[in-house]
Amino acid sequence: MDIHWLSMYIGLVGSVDLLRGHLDGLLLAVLAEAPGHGYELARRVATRSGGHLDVPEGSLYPALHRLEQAGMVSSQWAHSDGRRRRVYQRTAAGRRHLASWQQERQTFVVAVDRVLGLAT
Amino acid sequence: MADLEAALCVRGRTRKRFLSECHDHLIDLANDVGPDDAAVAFGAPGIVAASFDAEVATRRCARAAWLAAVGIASVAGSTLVLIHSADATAHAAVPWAIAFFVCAQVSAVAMVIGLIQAMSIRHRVVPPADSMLLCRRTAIALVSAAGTMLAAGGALPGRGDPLVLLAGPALAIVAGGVLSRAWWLTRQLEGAHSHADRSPFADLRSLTRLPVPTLGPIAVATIGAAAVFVRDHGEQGTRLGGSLLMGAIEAGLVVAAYLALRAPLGLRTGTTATD
Repeated sequence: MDIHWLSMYIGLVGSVDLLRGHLDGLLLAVLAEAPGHGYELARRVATRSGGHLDVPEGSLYPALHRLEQAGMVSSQWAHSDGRRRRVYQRTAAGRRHLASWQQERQTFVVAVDRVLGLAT
Repeated sequence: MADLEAALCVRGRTRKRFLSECHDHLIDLANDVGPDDAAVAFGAPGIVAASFDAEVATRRCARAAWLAAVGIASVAGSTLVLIHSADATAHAAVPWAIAFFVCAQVSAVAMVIGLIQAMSIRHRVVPPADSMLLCRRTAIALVSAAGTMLAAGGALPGRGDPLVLLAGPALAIVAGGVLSRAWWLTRQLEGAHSHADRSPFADLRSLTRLPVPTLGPIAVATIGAAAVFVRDHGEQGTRLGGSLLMGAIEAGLVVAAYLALRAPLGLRTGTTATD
């Protein structure tokens, strides 16, 4: 991997290396509550994580674009607070992807906990 | 916002929409935490722009690879019509015949490894060098497909339905246009000109989660030679010596094509996916 790209990518995800590869799943999860625009989704991730997931907010838009291109979210312009905003909504494909991602993540967490001796 | 606009390479509606969303986001964020903290929380403009550019480039290159596959399949159909419309007594000159078989095989191989790469990156963003590699593989597949049809036309001139004959090249041209757009964006991204190699076998393993073995050029050449021998000797009843010679020519051409194209196709032995 190109060194510049690697440093840029890590820089984008920041100190939350744990988030790498999880952002798509997190966005799909917060979209389960209700459709929302980018800023709203960033607030939901921050609130639901108790402020522990500190994602650089600009990185949401490449992720939302990727999810939209993959058919997991759809979006449309809507008026909110007197402004025209792009509002995202989860699709059926997004629901299926989230379910499969949750399953994979659960298996992974259980396996890691077993190795660390944290599993009951 | 000015820094973000300056750093962003993508153009058109996608750019306008991205900038509009970022603008709205920054206004909301600034209202909540103040302008200075908002800028920090949003992320460095250069990094956000590069990340979005890389995302758009990855998707465009993958889409171009799929469209090119449709274009190449159509060119193959038009080429078959061209061959079947030729005079039954016509004999192809040897250079045209060799050009036909070489171009057809290079096109098929480049298209298949490009499609495998496109499938393996469908939910991911790859470095610009990898997107550039996908563009190169797609371009080689399209140019070789055009070479195949040209060689068929040169070898066996005939008369066919012009609409059917032109349908394949027309679709290939459309795919070429989409590819040019993806290429134009990708080549502007930092790191796009670094060399990338991606083993199609590694991509297949990650796609199928099966232990797909990595085949070197000698193994591929042997399989190709065996296939040609079986077809020539078994199906067409050619004498053993003639079929062996055809198999050896096929093996030689596979090795020669590998040596000539391994760098542009990103197939150097011993390398794996770069992301």
